[in-house]
Amino acid sequence: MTSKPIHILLDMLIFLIALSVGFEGGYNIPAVGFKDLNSGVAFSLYINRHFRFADLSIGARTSYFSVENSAYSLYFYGLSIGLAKNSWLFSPVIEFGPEYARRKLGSSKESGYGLNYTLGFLINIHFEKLRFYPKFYYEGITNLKTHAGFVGAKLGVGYEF
Amino acid sequence: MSSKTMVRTGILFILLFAACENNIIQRAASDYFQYREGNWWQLASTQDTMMVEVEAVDTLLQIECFTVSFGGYPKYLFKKPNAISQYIKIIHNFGGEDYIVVENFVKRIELPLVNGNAWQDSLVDSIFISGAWVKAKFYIIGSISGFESVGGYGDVYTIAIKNVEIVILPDTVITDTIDVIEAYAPDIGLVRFEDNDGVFDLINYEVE
Repeated sequence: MTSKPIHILLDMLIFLIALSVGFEGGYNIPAVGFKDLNSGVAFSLYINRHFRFADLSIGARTSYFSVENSAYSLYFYGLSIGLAKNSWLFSPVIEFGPEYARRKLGSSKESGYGLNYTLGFLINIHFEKLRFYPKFYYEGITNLKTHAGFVGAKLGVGYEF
Repeated sequence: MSSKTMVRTGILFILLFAACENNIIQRAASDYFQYREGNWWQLASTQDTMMVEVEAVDTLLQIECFTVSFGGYPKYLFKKPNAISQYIKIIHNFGGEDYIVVENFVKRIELPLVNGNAWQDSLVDSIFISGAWVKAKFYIIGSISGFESVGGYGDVYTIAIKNVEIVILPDTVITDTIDVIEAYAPDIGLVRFEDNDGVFDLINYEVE
């Protein structure tokens, strides 16, 4: 009989077997709220494991936005759990997770937390173990009182071990 | 870890998150300055009421700006993504004739609103009238002194603004200082105004 921590470690090890890793980068444009923001850049790194029903990914993400005031910056850093179907040419994608937001104007700063969610689709193109995909999505961010979000497009590449 | 444990952990996380008072998304995503024609805010002190109304767009110095009437006194404001600017004109009367000494836009509030931010902007000019120089200076010192969650309004920013107008004549210096404190709520606008006449709180408004 294994203890609980060992059980969790075993679960993590199983997750790490038969996984793929990937990277995504692209642009976000404000769609709901954030009227004064310009477009921003977004990046994410993830590990992915294939299940029968879907591909589950766990990732870390960041995005950066600026406005006309060059002293201002808005950063988001987040973790996400996502579901997609990598074997399909067109696959829906759903992601969600916690988000840390930091805004800065000169030496003044504010920070706080939110929840992010992404709904969209991607087009899978396979070359042996490599997978390339453009991804189009709506990325929402909320503190359960205010909702705002972006539409975006990313280009991703994944490698399956 | 079983799927039941994961679901329970997820629900607990969301409940804990919902219990936290953290409105950074609201502060970052909302519009605190609803300058659109027809919008109005009615504020009241213990002794008086004050209407703040956005009137028709006017063009000054080739810039389209909103006439915002503060209790009948118009301010000509121009909103950009990085600032709310105000039209300033300082006139000196000499021998029954008006001479414009200073005319331009000055940064009234720096945008976006971020707690602790401070700014200043100034206009300086001079004119030679009847053998003597008349110099005028207008400057604004502003700062965001804080924000607080107000029920029904959301996170309200408090902004302190000092307006100083100085006119330097050959034989005298005229200085006029006005200190105001304004509080703005997300997607509503002005909810509190404080000057020498008292503290005015929002009692009614209409924004589109």
